[in-house]
Amino acid sequence: MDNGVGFLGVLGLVMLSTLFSIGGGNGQVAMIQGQWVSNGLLDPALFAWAFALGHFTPGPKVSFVTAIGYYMAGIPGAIAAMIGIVIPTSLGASLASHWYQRFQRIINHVSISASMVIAGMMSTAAIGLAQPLDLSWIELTGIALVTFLVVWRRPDPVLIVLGSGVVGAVVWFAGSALAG
Amino acid sequence: MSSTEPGNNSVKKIVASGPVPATPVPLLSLALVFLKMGALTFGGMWAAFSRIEADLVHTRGWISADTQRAMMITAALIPAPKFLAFGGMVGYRLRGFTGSVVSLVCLMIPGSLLVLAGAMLLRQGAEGTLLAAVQHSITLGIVGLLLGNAANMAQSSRLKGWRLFAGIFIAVMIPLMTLVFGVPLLVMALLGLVSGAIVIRPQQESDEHG
Repeated sequence: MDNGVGFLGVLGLVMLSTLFSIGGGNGQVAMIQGQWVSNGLLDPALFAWAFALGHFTPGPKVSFVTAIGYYMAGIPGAIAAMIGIVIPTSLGASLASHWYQRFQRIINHVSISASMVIAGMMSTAAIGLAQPLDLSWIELTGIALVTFLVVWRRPDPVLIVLGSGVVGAVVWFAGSALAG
Repeated sequence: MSSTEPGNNSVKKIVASGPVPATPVPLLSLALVFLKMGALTFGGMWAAFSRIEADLVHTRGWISADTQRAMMITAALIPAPKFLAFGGMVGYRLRGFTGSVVSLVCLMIPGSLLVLAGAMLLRQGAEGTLLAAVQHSITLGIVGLLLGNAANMAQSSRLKGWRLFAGIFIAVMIPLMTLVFGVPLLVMALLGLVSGAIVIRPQQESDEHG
């Protein structure tokens, strides 16, 4: 965990990334990928594992940032990640409740383009996550199939994560059997 | 949105002026309800709709069904994770800013503790092991999931004609400028939001202005 990020680094990035979560878009995913995974501070496999954990556990899926915080700065990092989510969200929720009518016009303006911006951010995160993996054409085909399945049937993400894990295990056992 | 959900005009009235319980809700009760919600709901805010309604509307009577739906719609529009934003709005309605923070923290704690336990138990597998193979294939699955979600998110904008073209241009420029030319993602996201808000205006308003 000697990556120089620390409590304040985790807190700052998670707070900032929360602002890009309109409509359930995973702004955190893109920001964390861009700041820590692509810079080599966080391994892509650990990043993906943290994201998967968020889907396996109850409550808001954004709790995956707790694992990211832990990987970056230990227990203090996990606490920083939680605080980083809670502060801007409670402020935003309180302001939205209190001044909904005043903010409605701004919200309407931003929310239209936000879908496309978040789509771009998610694509950036996906490509950035895949870039360092040096993928074979079989793996690229697998990614394309998953993408097609998600667009076509919109399955529960847990099924994608579980299915991917099972395929990985099957391939490993098959490879071990052939080698042995 | 289903036919039972309030329209946009009624949403702002309900969120701004919906009924509040006559006696203040104790913070401990608020905390316990959101802890339970955080521990027993899966699949996000919309998937937990019925359980939330049963707890907050029917069992406790803290908010009306209309207020719940209006808050859920609003929570999806503000820049925050929507399930948490909903919890924060309910907490604010019942006990002000303190209630908002208590609801949020309690909603998040159960999942976060389990995620933390998972992160502590399982770290990176050594190369060639079963764990490394499973982690690698999960990474590939998540790359596909993110790309699929990006496409679904773009579709959900329901833009048409030149607005759709402008939206796609913004969505494509973000990865291009970030990954190829090294422009910071935050800069591109802010540029996209600002340029999108200027160029892609709400349909009704821009039609009114010709």
